[in-house]
Amino acid sequence: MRGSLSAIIFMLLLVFPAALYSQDGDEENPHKEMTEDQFVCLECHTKVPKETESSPDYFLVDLPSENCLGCHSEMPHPGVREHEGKEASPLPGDENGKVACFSCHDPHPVGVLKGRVVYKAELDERNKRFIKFVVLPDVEKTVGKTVSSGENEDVRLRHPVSKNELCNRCHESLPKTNFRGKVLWDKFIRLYSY
Amino acid sequence: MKRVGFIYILFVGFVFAALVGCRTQEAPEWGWKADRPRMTRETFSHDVHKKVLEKEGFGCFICHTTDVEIDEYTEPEEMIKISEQAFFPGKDTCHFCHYNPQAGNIAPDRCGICHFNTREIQPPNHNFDWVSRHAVFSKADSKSCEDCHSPRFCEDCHKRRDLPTRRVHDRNFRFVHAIEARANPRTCGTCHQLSAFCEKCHIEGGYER
Repeated sequence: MRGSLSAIIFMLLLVFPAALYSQDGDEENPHKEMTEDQFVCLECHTKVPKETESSPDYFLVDLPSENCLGCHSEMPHPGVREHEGKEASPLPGDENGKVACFSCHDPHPVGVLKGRVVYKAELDERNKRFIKFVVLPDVEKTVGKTVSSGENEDVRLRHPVSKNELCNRCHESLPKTNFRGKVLWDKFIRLYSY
Repeated sequence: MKRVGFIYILFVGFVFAALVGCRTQEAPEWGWKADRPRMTRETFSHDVHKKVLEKEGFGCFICHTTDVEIDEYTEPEEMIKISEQAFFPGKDTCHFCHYNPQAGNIAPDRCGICHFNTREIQPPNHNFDWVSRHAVFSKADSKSCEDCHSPRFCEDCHKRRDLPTRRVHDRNFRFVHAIEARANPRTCGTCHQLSAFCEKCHIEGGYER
């Protein structure tokens, strides 16, 4: 009886090898594995740097601007294209000091680098609901297809998104538009449309 | 002397009115003109919005959403489109605060704040004769009016009692209009179609005299 059960399991694994991996693909995620296995570091780095060592290219296998593209798409979420070529300082930047994926996201989970803290993309309920009921339908209406959102909060951000902390690192001083100089026009064309 | 001063002031006023009041967009090459913005972002103030939204407990991400998954197998043009639409607020997102007929507006709601050329958003049937024709359309589909106007807009003419004048004719004009109509019938024709509008009461309505 036991022998036939083993044979059935063996046959099933032979036919469906994907069953060997967990469903969410964790087995292939180096970001999660690096806490257990130091050799995973070498998937992105040429060597495992010591704590005091630093390099403008972060000892990466590829150029800092291209390193993530080995696994991730060029535009995994909105805002990537809009930040391209912008100065990254005071966040870490690519080989030219421009914004890269790792400017906002820390590839290392907690526990790999001493004292490093990473944050989830956690919005409070009020913000979440506004995005869900106002913004997403607006996007869907414009692009003409369903879009998904809020499925992955664990994106290892360098700073929390609450109170705009992450954005404020670079955008603390927002562009001042001379709206008061131009708003005069509004007084001329005031439409009775209240 | 006083008369010379008066004429001088009148002359200066006339010149000022000519330079300011008579300016049109089609003739931008002379005089002073309010600097008409072309895009909303020219007048949009992040500073003002940030202060208000932070006070309400909202973050940057409600307008600049990054939390939309873009499938890596999507066509590049479509990727860019989704990215732009999500990262920059769309019409409905702005209108949620600035123009919300259902819940009411919680932000300045003058259309001209963003729509610098209000004619662009004006329905084509709102032409010169619209005032006299709008009743039929509003009765047929009052909801369509509320797409742009709040009920207060209608009530401002139809139910207003706090002012002695209305937007077009003075109150009580119905009883004194004969004087103006007889003095110069053509003035009525500026807005009304005489053969239909006058006869509607004077013949059909039993007011034949």
